[in-house]
Amino acid sequence: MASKAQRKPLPLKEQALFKELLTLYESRTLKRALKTADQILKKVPDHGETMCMKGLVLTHMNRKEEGLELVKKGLVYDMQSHICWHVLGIIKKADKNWDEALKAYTQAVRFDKENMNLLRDAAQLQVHLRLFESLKETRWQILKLRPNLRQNWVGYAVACHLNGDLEETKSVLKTYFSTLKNIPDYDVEHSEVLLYYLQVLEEMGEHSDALSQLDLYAKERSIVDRTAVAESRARLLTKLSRKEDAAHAWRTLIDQNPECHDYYRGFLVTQRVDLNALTDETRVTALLFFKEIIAQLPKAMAAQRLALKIAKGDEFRELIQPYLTNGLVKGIPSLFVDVRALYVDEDKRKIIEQIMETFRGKSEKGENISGPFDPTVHIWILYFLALHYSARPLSPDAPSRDLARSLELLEQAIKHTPTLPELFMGKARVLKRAGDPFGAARAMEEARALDGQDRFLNWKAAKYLMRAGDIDGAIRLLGLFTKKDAPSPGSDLEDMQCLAYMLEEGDAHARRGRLGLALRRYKSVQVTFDDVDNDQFDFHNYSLRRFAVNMYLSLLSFEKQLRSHPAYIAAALASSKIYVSLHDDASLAVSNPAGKLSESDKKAKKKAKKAAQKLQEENKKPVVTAAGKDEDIPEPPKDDDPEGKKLLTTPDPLGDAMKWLRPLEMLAKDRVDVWVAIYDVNIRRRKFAQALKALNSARKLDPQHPEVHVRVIDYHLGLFLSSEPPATPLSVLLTSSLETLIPPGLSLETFNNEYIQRQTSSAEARLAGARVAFMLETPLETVESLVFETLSPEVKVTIQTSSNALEFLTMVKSARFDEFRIQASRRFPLSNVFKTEDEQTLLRKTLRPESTVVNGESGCKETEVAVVECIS
Amino acid sequence: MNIRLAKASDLLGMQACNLNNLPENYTLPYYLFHALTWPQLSYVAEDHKGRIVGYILAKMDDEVEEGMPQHGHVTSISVLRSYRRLGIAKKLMIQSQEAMAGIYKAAYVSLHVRQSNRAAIGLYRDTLGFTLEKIEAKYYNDGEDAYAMRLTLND
Repeated sequence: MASKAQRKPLPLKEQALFKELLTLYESRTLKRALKTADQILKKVPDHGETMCMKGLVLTHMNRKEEGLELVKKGLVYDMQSHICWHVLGIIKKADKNWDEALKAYTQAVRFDKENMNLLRDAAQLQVHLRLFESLKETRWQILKLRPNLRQNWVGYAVACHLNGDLEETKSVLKTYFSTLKNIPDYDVEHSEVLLYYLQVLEEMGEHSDALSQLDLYAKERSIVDRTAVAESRARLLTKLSRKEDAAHAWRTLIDQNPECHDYYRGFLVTQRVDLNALTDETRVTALLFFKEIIAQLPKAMAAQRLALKIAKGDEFRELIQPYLTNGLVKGIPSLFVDVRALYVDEDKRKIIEQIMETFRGKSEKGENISGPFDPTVHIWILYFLALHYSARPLSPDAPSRDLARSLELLEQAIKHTPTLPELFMGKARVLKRAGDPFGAARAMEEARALDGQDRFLNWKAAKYLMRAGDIDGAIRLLGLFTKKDAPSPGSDLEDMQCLAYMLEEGDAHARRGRLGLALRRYKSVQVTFDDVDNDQFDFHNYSLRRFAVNMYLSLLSFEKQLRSHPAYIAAALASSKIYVSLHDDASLAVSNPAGKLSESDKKAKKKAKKAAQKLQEENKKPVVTAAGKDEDIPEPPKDDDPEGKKLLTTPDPLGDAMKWLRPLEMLAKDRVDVWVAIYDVNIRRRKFAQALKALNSARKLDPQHPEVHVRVIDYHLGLFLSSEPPATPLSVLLTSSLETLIPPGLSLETFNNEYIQRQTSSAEARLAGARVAFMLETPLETVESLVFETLSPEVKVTIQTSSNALEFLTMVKSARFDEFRIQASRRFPLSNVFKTEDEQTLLRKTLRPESTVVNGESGCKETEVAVVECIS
Repeated sequence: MNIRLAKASDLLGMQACNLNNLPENYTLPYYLFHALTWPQLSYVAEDHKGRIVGYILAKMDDEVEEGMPQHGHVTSISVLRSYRRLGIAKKLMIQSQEAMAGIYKAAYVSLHVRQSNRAAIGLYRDTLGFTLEKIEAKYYNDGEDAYAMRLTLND
């Protein structure tokens, strides 16, 4: 065998050269490394290890494929060399192909069992891949070989812990502590390990041991983190039911950080009070406690706010009045958003409205609500009430919102103080709710122009422009705060992982039918999450070196849940919706290649092209540096699909959709929209069993959900009309499943009518009924009249639902489209989203009058800022 | 408002808040680096929906010369515009400062701020008691100068 033959050692001179080759590679002196490798191969052409090393060097010189080929060839010549496997592992790791990398490392370790570098890298890969059993073995090897290194003990303990073996974790840590000598005073790292040990004891339920250890460590000051000690102590005392001591411990914590809600909850638990499940009795106890704290720590906002949540009736009135007064006098912009959550209780909403209207009456007459009369307080009262009247009702008994009244109040305030950005922000928000994205964008721009240095206002203004369909305008605004040397504002925001931007622009493109660009932006969200997932890799070993164990464990659990992040879910749903529509109508990818390119996109494209050219030219130049050391040659820019054309013309749109959705099957189990999306993809992939599972999961969460209702019928039709029904016995199972969805003997039409009858006041349900009627081939007039019923006076309808209804009428090619448009316009008098396309295009143009020049240097005028500062 | 120590699961929220407020932005590994090197120093403020509306990202200065005192450094601190005037920045800063002094024996805490950012300078100087140490010319990527400010800690 070739490999056996080659186990012969190299001649002496080549041995020396090989050593040199390793050193040269490690110092990244690639050209010389390459030369040295060639020198060896000239003499010993089939030396596997040299071939692999040469391959590795090549991968660093932009000759990746050639390099990898050579490595594979080298491996064949020497399958028993740990160097050859190690090289393969390094290359796979650089590709972030963790599975393959681990396979290679595992082989390498087989041939060099005591190589610390290999073992450490293998352990890193194992924890990254959550292979905790093999991790434990590897960490044990490492500890056995180097028990003198502190981190190896902790590494093994953590491996046991991750493996679920708490008993062993504890005993490893105990042994470790007993081996320690001469711990310096104030050793933060040691302190962190002790805290970790206490955490393990607490997890094991050994509270009493944990507490006595804690007291000991605290006394000898070997734990230096006093906050952590105090928190741990309070928790343990609570668990040990030592009520008085526990109460005292929590109370001390409140003094240290009076804004931490956990401390209040902790204290109340010692008084047998559960804030989430109050009784009449515990409510009294809790309120007394909060009042006591408010008296002692008048600045503790958390105590005041928690008290408001639980107080009722007159007691609430007593507490809310000073709370509102304080907020208005200080001009706290978030006052409304803060108390808004209390509106779930309609009584509280009414009380707040009464108080605020009384305040308004007073201040309109020039009377003070507290202290000397202050005209700015009057402005904040108007601002509060405007938001109050425009908010969506949180309780079924609440009156519906009054957007016209809100706007009136804001105009009044703006007339009084035209320099306060918050007022324009408020106006923008109200107009947005009223269905006027254009007016909203203009108002937000006015807010922004009042304080051009504020990035928050800049982002809001850009976001509102996107919502109004002016993507170019938005990008130009965003460019005021992004790096000037970036190819485009968007690419800087993507580099900086700005998820909000990616989503907002993706949605804006999707709304305008530029599906490729939309997919491209969503793709950036996916890439960002992949990056964050991969980011943890470097920290597996780093955290152990720094002994930050508790934080490291919090990192691992965060990464496990990573894709439950709302931005990921939103991008996944939006992408899969596009992929499904591409599957249903392949012409979308052709007739609508990428929409029109925007100005900034064109510019970005030009810049990227230039940069790529420059790079190519530079690569042609010979790299000569003084030390003869050539650096890594950077890869060319990665974005090979700036317009999303490749994404749009994917051969497997449903497969791509599933890639987005798969992580959500575990991470977003409680979302109907996620299950509906999974259903939509699976039914089209003809995966009936998986589609049924998704449908049932959605039904369990909300059986009356309009989207679920549509899918129940869709499933039924799909199964029966399917040209190639699923194979028996699966089909038997699936057919019998229908009976659980739709009662036997009931026609689909009746089923649909009954669904509508159950929720006559819901526009969403009625629209779903119309969609189903269409699927059942009901005459178009009937379908249309069902749609029109969503606008009946007794039906609660939102602008969104009416827009969806309009979209549906387009899809079914209804002749009554314009009629619906006009009726919806009447139903939402302040809106203009129901105007014709042409009218909307005209409105969009008003967003950028010639006079609005975006000032690149400083959008902020000195005098105006000064005014704002003193008024607000 | 809830003010508490930052966990790993807060880092994306801190990053989003930072992007919303400030022109100096960082990718996630930098946040991870802070959290896993000085796990006790960074704090967040969250609203009742659990959204991060303010944060302090802080560290210790690793490159202290022999004989010089340890000191902390605020890499970034900000509060969403809509949550200002609640004293959140100050509360975040105090929690972090106490940890710097108590755990790492920091003698003082330093920070950099754009010399054009008057709002922030006002906050640091007037509300938090920082003083101007020196001006660092062209500290920022775009060539703007930074004010290096510091606050003495007594513990």
